[in-house]
Amino acid sequence: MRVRPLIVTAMAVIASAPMSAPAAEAVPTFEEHVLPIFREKCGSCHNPDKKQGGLDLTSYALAMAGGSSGEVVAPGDAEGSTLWQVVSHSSEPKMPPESDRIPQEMLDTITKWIAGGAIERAGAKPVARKVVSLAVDPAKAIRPEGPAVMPPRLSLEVAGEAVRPMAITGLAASPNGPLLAVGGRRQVLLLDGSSLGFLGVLPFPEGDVKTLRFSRNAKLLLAGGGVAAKSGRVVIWDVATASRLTEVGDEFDQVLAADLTADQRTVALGGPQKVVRLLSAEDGSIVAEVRRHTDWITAVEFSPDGKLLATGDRAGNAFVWETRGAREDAVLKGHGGGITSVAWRPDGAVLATASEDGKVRLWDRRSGEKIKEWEAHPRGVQGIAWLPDGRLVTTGRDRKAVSWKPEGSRERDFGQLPEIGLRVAISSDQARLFAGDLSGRLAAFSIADGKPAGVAETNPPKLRRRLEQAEKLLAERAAAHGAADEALLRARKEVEQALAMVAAAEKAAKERAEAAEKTREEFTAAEAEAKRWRDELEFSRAERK
Amino acid sequence: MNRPFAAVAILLFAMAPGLAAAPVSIEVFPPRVRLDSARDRQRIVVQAVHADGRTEDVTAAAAIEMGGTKLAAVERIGEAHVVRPVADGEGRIVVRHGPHAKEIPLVVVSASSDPPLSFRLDVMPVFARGGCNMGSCHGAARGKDGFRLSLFGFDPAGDYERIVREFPGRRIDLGDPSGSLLVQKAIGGVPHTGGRRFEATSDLADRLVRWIAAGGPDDPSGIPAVIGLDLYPPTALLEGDGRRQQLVAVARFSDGTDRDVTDLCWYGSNNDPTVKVSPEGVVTSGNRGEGFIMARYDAITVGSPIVVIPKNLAFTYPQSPGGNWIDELVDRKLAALRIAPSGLCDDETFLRRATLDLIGMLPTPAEREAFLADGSADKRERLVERLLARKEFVDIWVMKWSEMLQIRTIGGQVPPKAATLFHQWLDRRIAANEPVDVMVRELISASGGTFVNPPANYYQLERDTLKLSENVAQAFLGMRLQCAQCHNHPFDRWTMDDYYGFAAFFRRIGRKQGADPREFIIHDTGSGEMNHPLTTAPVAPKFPGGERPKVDDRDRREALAHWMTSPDNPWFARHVANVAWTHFLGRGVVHEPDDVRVSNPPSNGPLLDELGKRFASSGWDFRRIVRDIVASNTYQRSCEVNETNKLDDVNFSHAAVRRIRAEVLLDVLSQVTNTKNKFPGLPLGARAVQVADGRTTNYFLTTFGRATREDVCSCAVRMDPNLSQALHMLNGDAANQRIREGGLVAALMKEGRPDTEIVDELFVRCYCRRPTERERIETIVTVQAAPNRTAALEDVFWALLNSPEFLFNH
Repeated sequence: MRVRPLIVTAMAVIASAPMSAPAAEAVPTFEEHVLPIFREKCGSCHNPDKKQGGLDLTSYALAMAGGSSGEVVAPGDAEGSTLWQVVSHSSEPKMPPESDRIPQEMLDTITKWIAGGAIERAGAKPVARKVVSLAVDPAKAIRPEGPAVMPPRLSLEVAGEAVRPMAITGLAASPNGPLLAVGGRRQVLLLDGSSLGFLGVLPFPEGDVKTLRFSRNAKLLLAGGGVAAKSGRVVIWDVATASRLTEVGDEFDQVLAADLTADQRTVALGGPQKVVRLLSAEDGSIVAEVRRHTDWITAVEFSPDGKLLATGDRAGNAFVWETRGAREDAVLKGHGGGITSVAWRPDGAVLATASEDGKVRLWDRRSGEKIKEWEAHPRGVQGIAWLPDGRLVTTGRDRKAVSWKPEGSRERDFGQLPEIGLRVAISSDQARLFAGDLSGRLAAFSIADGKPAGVAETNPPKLRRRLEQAEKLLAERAAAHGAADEALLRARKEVEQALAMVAAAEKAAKERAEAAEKTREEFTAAEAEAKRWRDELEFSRAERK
Repeated sequence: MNRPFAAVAILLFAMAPGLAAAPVSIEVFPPRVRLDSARDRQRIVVQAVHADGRTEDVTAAAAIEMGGTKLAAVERIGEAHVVRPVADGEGRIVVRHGPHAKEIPLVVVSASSDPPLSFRLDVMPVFARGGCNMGSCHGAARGKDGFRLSLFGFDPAGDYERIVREFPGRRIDLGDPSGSLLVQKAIGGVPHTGGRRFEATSDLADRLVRWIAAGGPDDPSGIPAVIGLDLYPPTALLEGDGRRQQLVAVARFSDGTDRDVTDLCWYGSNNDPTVKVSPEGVVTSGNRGEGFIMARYDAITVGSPIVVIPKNLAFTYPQSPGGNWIDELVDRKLAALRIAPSGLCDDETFLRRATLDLIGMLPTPAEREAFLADGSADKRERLVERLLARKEFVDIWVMKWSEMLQIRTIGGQVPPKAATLFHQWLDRRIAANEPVDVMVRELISASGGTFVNPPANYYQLERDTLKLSENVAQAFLGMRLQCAQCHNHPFDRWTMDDYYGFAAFFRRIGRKQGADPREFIIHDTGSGEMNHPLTTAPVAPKFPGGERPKVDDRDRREALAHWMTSPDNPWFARHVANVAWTHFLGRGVVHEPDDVRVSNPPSNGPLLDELGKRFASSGWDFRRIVRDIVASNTYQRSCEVNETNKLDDVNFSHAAVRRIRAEVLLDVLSQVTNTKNKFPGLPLGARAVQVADGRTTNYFLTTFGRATREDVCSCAVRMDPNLSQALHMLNGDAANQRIREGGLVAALMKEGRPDTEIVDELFVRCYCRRPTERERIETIVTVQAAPNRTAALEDVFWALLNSPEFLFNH
């Protein structure tokens, strides 16, 4: 993020020329419409004396200056403005605190005021919208090409058995194909991202797998991990052949974070040793080291073009380095808690950092400046991933998985996780979100509608046990099947008996019907006879008269 | 814990070796056994007591039976007897050793249930026992190597969070319990800065593994809390070195259950050369003396005093004639320690010592003549009466209280007028010998204008609520609560709850400016709560280690003042009595007197208890407790030591040689040289002890350690001799200039008195004695050989003033 040639800057300025003023009567102004709302609803805390959160809303200049965590009004972008997010209760901390939302018409006024360019007073010009665009440049987004990269048929035998799965700190979805990798004890589990079926195991005898990455072209899989407090290593496999290509790194504690450049030449790794090491993927030699971190390295990621490396540590320090020479490119100041994840937007123009302070921050690659921040998961964001269109998904200590619109407004909650959410990943077709948690549970959700799409088996048993289980099941089913067959025979016999009985009954019925017919005819004949003789009797009486 | 020397006190006064080969009784610990789960175990210890008070651990040799029932079984594990449950019921355990038998009650409930492990009750003790949460390890404020535990476990909820969730997936692995980092670090399975804390096969490791295997659950609410810890035996008297005594520690819980925590406590000794204690709770004797063994479990520390006497010591306690109740208690302890006290000091020594201690002056030659000439048996008592009646006695104690109350001027808070009024208020009360409880109640609950009601200035001297409550606890109760501000006190009973509960008494003090801008009005604001920093919930006012009083709408300080001075509260009476004791004996029964804590036990518990009790029951008559102290043989002992007491400096077996404190030294220096001092606001010739303002000082006073009164600590008065003091006396104006200025030598010469008389006069003035024959001859020879007689005699005076015999009280 060095200073670019002037021409680029100039272009940016032109691109960001003030938007045309909307129809005057429709746009509320600060002095006339918004200030009264602030005075009534916010003034008791955000006044010049109290200045809660460093924010004073009693004047236009001060309101626009923002609070201690930065600007709160982004002119032209209501939903992306912290102020709007907190008063609309779409983000923490909800304002006013511990009360209901302010009335809808007030909210509408604020929305229109910000959308209209946050005008100070009637006749004033709308404030120019911030330069940085959150639109993704599709041309720059590197997408793997060719057919899906999937592993060959693999052994399903696992490295060991345990009562519970491992907390999911390593989770990666292939950018090309329905392949999902999950870190485990002494192994990487490969799953089919569509069916969540178990595809096989890549052994990692080096220890626990703490971090996983697919290369940008989806052809390689990188795993970092080791034995806590003892040793750390990074291993790279060729996905299509499932063969181990190389092992690099010789750490004295687990590798907690690692990544591979797009050109597949350089590996970055870090962990409790507080040093980020850049290693040659070819021979494992140390290319460069970063010793500026003051705590455990918890996150590293190369930009999609491989030119920059973002790193974060447990004390909340985050940096961007030039991959070549590991020179400092930007210091990302502001997180109040440890960094848990860093992620470059697919086009490489924006970096997202997630922190234990509960916030997600977006940084402009070019300037190194913060573009945006919002409260994503109270008490700590743990995992973060980009959708190619600039939306984000995150998970954290509030046990939720959430998607965010490009400008940072909450889009969708993906249901409650049973434990702290640690990692999220997106399927290559962008249809599914995978969320792994502290209890080792891996849940899939549909991104389109947020509905649950299954839970993966992350603690598969040994094949012997599976066989035992299957045989047991078979025996059970066989027994059940035998019993069912017998029951069927019995039932059939009963049917035959019933049918015979029906025939007999029908025959009897027919006979009785015939008998009945006969008696009816006899009755009719008798009745006619009786009528004739009654008529005869009546006639003879009339004759007598 | 003031454990009475019950066992030791038996048959103190005729102890000869070999007389009591067989024990006279046995004690069984713990005194009752309760087992309440299939996992529960209780270790039994048997202590034999001999006729001369010696004790012996006879556990290994004792026989333990179940008194005819099958409720429990006894297993021998090494030398230990461990009782485990078999069936529910009530019965007894019978212990036999030689001809002696003793029964203890046994209760077994839920013998077959194996309840799940609790994080607080079963796992937290592992971190304490393993040393994981020590201040130098993960208990440090910032943790160690990226992992923090609360210091000695004061914050179990936070520790749970840090272990299970802080760094997800790192510290425990629910699917691989024994492979979890928490376990692997502790057992040395992976590199660990703290090394291996316990074995993989130990009960401690097993607890961690089982808890993780169970899913690492947090405790449901309402888990029982530890409310007490009993350490057995309460005392022991071991003969010779290398003798062992196994301890038993039993923790009591709020639900009425108890647990054998012998293997979970942290143990320490305050005197390793005399008694050592192993992590397993085995005490081993060393050199003669007394050691205090401490055991800590959860937030509670308790201790047992252990006495070690030499093997086969022939010892008869020398009885001194006279004496009072103090001597009984001191003698009892000395006899148990086989220490013979020094004899009583001579009249001249007593006169000088008592005069310096009681009124801060030296006896004049005339007073000395009169005292020596008095042939009556009770002349020492009468001297004490005379001195107690002197105004200078009041001055000394006004000064002492002014130090405790930190009276000093503070710009914008305590103007000179307020400080002076406060000082005068104190002076009037002490002069009238007002009961101390009345005086302190008036002070603690003081409200109103600082000019109208001077004790209200106490709340102007420290305005920070937390600091103020710390000061009150230290000045009036001798407790240092400071540590408990941030974590439970590691070596005392105080918890954060105690700390903030105590501070809550002072939370509602309001201060506003009076009509006179220099005056402040202290008032009760009637609102405001003290919040606990961990839970952020308000903490109701609570007496340290005691109950939560009903405070209603009253000024909370009134409730506190009443509790502090109530007869049910032993702390205050003991503390004030111990302050007096420390002044006269040069060392507190608890030392320092304002450092009362479990791990700093009194050197003589019964003495401290009795001092407090007598002081309170006398109607808080301060002069009476002083009279009793000064009248005791203990106070009147010589500072010459004998073979048995030369190493003792805590049991009052001989007088302590004490440097005279700054103010008194300046006053007696002025007294013997006939010079005067001038202090701001006081007339020429006023004494240094009368200075009201802690800020007033001069080079001499500062050098000799006058307290600035900015710190409540009694240690602010520095009594240690140092080089700058010696240099100031030798070369500074303290001696030289005063000798010339006072003109004493010149005056005596002018009277035409011979050298011998002048030298005698100087010795009497400075030392309250005539020179020995040798001192006299050598001095006279030197003086007469000198070219200038005046200068020579002044040099003699200078030499006397620079001698330890002058600078020290002895």
